Amino acid sequence: MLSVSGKEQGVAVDLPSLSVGIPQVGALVDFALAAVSPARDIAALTVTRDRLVAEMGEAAMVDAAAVVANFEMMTRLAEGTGAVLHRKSSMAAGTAVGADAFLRH
Amino acid sequence: MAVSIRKDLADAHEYTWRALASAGTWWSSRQRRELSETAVASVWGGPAASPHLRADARTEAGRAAHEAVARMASGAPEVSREWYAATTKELGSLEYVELVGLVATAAAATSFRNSLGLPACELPDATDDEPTRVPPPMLADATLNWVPVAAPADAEAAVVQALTAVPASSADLWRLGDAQYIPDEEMVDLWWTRGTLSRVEIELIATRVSFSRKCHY
Repeated sequence: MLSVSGKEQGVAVDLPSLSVGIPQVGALVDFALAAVSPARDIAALTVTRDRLVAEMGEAAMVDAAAVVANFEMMTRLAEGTGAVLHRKSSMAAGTAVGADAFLRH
Repeated sequence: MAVSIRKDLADAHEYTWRALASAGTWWSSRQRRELSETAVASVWGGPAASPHLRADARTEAGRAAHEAVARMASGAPEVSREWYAATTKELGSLEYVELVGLVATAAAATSFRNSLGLPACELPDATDDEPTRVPPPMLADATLNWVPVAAPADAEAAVVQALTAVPASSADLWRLGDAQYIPDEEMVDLWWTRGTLSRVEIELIATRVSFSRKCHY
């Protein structure tokens, strides 16, 4: 969906590096990384949350936290039910970001 | 830190915390509450973090259920088809499907509070309510999932049909998904936004989290 939405909106997306041509990419990615860190680094999460609020506002930070939460949910749903991709385009996107290494099924 | 959370999102999370301690289709209120405790503990503490997995623990749901929940909740679990087969042999396939829904929604609820710098919610007290045991819809084996799904199988994407064998669990998960991500009816609109994050920004976060969780899907 990242590559499809980027193409639709004319935003450059490089899947292998997960680099995206939007101004707040660093703030968004750093926040997401801190939020899912298994080490639960509260200090890093606080810094990245404050930066995201400063750059995009509190409502955007809350929505970013909600998207993180959603994919903490969806990844467990997919793993627990043995979900596999059925579209060739989705499989190709997964290959592009290196997700084939995560195949366990 | 006082954070303003839009109402539909706050309501969806409040509903989720209540549902985690309420009777489900195949697990009682007491069983679901203690299994949710294991899920929440395991999201950050790993599969051995739950007090219900201590050697001397006496549980309502049983050790096998707690072990399954802890394994799935702990992030990048080693979940294989063989493990699934062995686990469902012990728990039952519909009981297992409900546990996946419990783990997934508990992980979301825990993650959201953590990301906002808020303490985890206290789970509501359990009740004496027993599982509803509402009969499942007509089921079919799927090729896109290990778990049985509502017939006809594979008519929808794997994650969409994943919990359909237990409709109440499926409804709980998608209620939360609509508020957290993109409402189902807006999914095809690649310009849809709540006025905060663009669709590209939403998908960037989604991809980053999925990659961090080593999720192939």
